Amino acid sequence: MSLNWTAGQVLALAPDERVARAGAELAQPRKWLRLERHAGVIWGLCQGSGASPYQTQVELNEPAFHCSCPSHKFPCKHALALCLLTVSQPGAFKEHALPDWVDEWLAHRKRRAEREQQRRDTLHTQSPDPKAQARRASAREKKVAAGVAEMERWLRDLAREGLAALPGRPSSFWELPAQRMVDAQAPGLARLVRELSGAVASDEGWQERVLEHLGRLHLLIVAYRRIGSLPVDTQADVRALIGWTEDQTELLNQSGVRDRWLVLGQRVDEEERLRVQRTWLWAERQARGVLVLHFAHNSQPLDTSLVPGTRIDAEVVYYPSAHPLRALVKAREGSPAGFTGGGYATIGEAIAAYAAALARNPWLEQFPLPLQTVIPLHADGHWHVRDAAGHVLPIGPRFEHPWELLALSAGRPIAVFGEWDGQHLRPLSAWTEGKFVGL
Amino acid sequence: MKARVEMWPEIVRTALLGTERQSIAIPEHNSPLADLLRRLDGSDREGALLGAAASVTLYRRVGWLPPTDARPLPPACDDDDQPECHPHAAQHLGRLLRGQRGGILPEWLGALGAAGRRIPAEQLPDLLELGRTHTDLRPLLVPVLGRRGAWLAARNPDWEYAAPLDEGTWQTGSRSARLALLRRLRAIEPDKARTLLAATWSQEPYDQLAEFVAALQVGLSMADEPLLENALDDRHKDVRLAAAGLLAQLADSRLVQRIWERARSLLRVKTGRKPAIELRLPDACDSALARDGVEARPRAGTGEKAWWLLQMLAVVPPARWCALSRLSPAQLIAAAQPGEWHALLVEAWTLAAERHRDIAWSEALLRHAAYLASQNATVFLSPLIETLPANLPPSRLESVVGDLLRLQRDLNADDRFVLPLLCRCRQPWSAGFSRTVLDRLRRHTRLRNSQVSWTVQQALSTLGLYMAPAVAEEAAAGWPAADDEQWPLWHESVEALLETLNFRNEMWQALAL
Repeated sequence: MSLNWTAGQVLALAPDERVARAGAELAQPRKWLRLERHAGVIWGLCQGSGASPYQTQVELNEPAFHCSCPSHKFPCKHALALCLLTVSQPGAFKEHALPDWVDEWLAHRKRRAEREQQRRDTLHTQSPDPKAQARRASAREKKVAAGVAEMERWLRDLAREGLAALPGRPSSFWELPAQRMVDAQAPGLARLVRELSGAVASDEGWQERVLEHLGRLHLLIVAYRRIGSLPVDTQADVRALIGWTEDQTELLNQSGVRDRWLVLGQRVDEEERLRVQRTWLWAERQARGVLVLHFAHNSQPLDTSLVPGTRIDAEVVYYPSAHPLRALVKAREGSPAGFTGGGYATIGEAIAAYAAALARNPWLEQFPLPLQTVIPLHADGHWHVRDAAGHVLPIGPRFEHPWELLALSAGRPIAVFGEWDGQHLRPLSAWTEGKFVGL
Repeated sequence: MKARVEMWPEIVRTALLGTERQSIAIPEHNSPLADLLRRLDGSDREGALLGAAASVTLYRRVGWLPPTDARPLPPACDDDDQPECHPHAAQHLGRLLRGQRGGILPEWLGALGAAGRRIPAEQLPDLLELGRTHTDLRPLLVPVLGRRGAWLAARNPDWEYAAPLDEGTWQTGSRSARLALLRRLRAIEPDKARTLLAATWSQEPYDQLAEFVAALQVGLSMADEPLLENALDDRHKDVRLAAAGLLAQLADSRLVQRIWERARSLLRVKTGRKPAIELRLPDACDSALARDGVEARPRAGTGEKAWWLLQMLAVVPPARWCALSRLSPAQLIAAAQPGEWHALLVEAWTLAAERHRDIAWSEALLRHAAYLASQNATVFLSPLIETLPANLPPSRLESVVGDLLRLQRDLNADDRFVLPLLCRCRQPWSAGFSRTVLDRLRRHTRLRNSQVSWTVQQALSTLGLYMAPAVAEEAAAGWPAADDEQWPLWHESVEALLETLNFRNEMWQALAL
């Protein structure tokens, strides 16, 4: 069984740079006492500083890792090294029957998956205590309603006094309302307030940006007050933005959409003690993009099952929305295949899709733009991409790898995937001449 | 149509001032957007402003059309002939760039060039940036950039040094660009480069001129002699010194001839059963001598006249002494030993051997260095060790150093000679020589009660850079066992050696894919 990975994709799974380096150092057959494989599973024994060698195993389809070393990192350097070895020296692994300790792990995983499915099924059929649920829900509604009302007053005060006064405000002007929104169980509102304060601190044109944010916030508040009269999907958007979360178990019990998905790109945002991983998928048949979010607190590992630059067959369930974008991967079939092209043929098409999505969900933030043939250009100190029709999209000033993009293109059109926020494109990957490069 | 666009600035103005001072003006014209805005409650000033902001923002966003740029596209890059290296090799490059084992990067770049491959597109920016700050990497880097790398470099002023050669830069470019052009051109078309410099000579500021003259080091040949001889009369000292330094390397130059005439009158070889050398000190450093680059002011610790003599002898091709006296280098060196001038002669001949790339003399001096080491005359060993190994062709060097290694009984006792010398043998080693050195090091680590010499530990870690990668696998064997009591002393250094060797072995294999 072969794996269409590159070493770069394996290293991208590493939780940090040190583990990546250590894994690369360990990827030599002479450091392993055993290297064997069977039916999509690889395993090995590595002598570490302990008395007995560490047992490391990887199930390649997922990928899923397990190692007996004491490291807290996930995947550990041993697991990474095994994956790197399958890429660089697949012949080093001998075909062998599964030893006990690998068999046990696989069985354990299977049991766990079954238990998880059972749990979901019972939750679905069981009716939870309706009274307690209703009490909790109504308590939250009250708190949020009070929070929203307070937000509205704060917003109106701001409108009355004028934007010109804002740059002089101390940070408490923003932090206190944000904290109160968190207390009101409306974390989404807190985030919007913090974004607003960030827009004030920005450079030229801040007045317009701030006003845009204010408009959005106002729209949200008005929508919330009238939520009962809105279409169901828009209600979902409003509630999601304020900070209600969907029950993942419920979602996974629904039937999803099957398609072949390109894993277009990925980025990780680090907030205080939370890491958010955003992975974008593109449905080949339906020609639409999808966002899968994963979260990790503190030093917890992030999900590694979606590898940018691969193609997967999967069933995906959407979160409800007027323009469904966020989704969960419910089930996968087969193993990841190699990347192919996909996306919008022109910038015009892409922006039209964005406009249509925005019209349905006015609070849309990032929109996936896989552009099949654009040329990256550098002019007047700014970077942008241009398509054959001459349309141009600006690349954000904080993008760190514009020269890599230019090098890949060499003046010719390439496929670029990025996030579009209505003002700037943030490239996450490029695809050209059979090569996929994460940026 | 126009009124619609002007609505937004109006809203922003109102928002800046605040609704206390101003309220939003509802437009009067007919359009779907104006109709929507008219439905806002004018009596609720804040609500009207915020509502207008929300509506118009959304309207503008949804209706936004990407601008068009009709300017002609810059020219695309031609296809490259050389293919990119294999992804495994690119992985190694990635590790080298991230700072692990940076010392191996020059070797990797050279191997890439030898394999006829080029740098993968996405790694070009990092390498070009590295070449910007590490000028010593440039000669290895530029050949493997491919057309794509040169094309990319032309688009970033920081990477001028790698952009396609354009002779027009000589007329219009910055100082650093012109210097880079001169150096690169000298490597391909030295005569043309010299002609360029000669044409603008009189207009160049003197400090720049000195740099340019020094750049003629690349591709130096007798064709440059006339220009350089003229430069000896230039107004500025830096230019004169630079020219003299280059002429001293050309054995057939007039400068060398003039110095030779003087030197032969100062150094006499008495042949016979026991040859001896007689030295006479020069009387003065006259203007002609100064013109030929001899510095009048002595360095600290050396007498004036000895200093002049040293400089003169360092210019003479040492082979001429052999021709004159019919003695071999070894015999001449032996003849120099007794007497007060031993150190001066050895130093002068070492410099001369390096200047004129004299293999026979370099070898003889190296062997002499071994003798000096055994006499603990370590004071002037360093210059010999630093410069001589690079003069010898690899097989010759390996043979000499092999001999010296065998003669050295205890590596601990010597930490000034053989091990530092080994570390200066920087051309790639043959497999045979690598094995010899490995065997010696293994024997040393297996010695009982051997003190741990830091020099040996250092050598172990460093020599992994030069040994033949082919011996990587066999190198793992033969060290003391893991439970040996000596092992903790050597463990780290040996691991470092094996890591480096293995990395280099893998990287060479990956480049052959």
